[in-house]
Amino acid sequence: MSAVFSHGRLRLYLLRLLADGPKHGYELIRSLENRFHGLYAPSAGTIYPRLARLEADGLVTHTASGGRKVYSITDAGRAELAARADEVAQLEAEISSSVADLANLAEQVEAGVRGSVRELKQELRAAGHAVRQAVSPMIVIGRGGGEAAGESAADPKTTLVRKAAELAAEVARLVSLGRASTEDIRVATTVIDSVRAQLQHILRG
Amino acid sequence: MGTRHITSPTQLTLDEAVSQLDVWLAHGKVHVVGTDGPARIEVRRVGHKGLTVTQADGTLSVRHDVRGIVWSLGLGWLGRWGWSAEVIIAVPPTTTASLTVVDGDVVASGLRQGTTVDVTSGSIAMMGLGGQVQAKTVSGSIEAVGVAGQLTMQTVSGEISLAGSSADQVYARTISGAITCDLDNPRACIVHLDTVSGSITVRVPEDANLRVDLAATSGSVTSAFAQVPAVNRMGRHIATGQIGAGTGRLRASAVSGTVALLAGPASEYDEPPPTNDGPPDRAEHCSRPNQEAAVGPTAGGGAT
Repeated sequence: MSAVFSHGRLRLYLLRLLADGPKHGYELIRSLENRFHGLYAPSAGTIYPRLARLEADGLVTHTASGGRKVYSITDAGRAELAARADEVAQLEAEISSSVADLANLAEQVEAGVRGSVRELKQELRAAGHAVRQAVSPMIVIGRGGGEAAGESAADPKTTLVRKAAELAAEVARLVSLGRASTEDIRVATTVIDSVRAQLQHILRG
Repeated sequence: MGTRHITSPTQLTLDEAVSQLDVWLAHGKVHVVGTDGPARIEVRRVGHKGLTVTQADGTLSVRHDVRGIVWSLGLGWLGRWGWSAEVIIAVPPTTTASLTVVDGDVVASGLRQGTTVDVTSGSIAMMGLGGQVQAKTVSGSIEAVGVAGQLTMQTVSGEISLAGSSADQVYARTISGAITCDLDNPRACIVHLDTVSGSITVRVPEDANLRVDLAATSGSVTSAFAQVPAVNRMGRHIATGQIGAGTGRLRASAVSGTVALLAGPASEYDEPPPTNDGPPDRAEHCSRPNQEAAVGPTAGGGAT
């Protein structure tokens, strides 16, 4: 199904949906889902970056009401939509025909599933490698060793994640020694909480 | 329309309403699409034994009529004997579907009410399904994208992959195949992944609210969450802990395979998706744990 939305057309369609009235992100996802009879349900991770991009380009704007962002189209967005009216009509026609032609629909669905799963596997394989690299010291400690250095940790992100994992492993090891009193453990927990709060503050940007 | 016997490629549009779909194919492929409008059947290929299409009392049935034949002689023979077909069926999204293919593939999409897929040898692909979804194959992979509701997947020797899931419950079980599972929103309440010799890779948003139990008897366990540290206890690799408020539950276990827990980007919903437009059982199912979630930390895998 997502084949209909190649080359930035999802972005255009989001504008088109917002032209009907302001919506929050989840409503946009539901609108797309309904338009495709549930066959295409983009995730939040697909929609929000595009909305952010549209906003950066000045085509949409958002207001926060009751703790949620409601997006609406700007005049520049309407101008863009008007300038690309042919493209929008073409897209609408393709969506309609893609839902009407059964054989085509079937192919789209199958290709969509295969494609999403393939992408996911690649992504997770890469992420899995990164985590294994990062937490390998943890496993080594679990077996009684303790070497942490060794692998080239040129990437500062990897280094940070690895150090965080090492910290967790170290804490687990120290606690399992059983030498600390309940009071010590409470103090240590408070320290960790404050470190975590600071890290969250820094890393969220 | 009663009963029709189809022996050549054809397209049918049915004027009666359909609320239940039953498909039984000995060999071939069935593709079911939930979409508005009248029910449609497109028979793209059919063996010389034909295909029986029956419609009565809201139930549409598409079957190979193999009663009386001994088909345990070998799956491959079914196709050669003429019991083979490739069919695309469009039914309303509210249709409940039961799809059985002995030797072949099933693709199902857009069915919101409930779907049961049973394949002996062949793969299953699912997209945008809802309600109670059960998929079972003996030898073949199961791939699911954007499935909501309660999802059960079982295969003996194939892989199971779940992408972009918003399911309330996920049960996945393989004997030798890998399980790859990406939960991209906080709605998942219970996730239970189980394999004997395959590997499990599961990714949850970093601001998920889950109690986590990972275990591998002889394989390794890795976790990207500091709250869920991987340790070696009595020769068994485990990782237990709590992410966020811990209202949901994630269990993954492997005997000789590995288990990896990965952290995905924080779910970017501005608010919990409204429960009143989901299946009614969703709200009920999630309400108990979520009572506490309301006072839990709001984001970022907050401490307890």
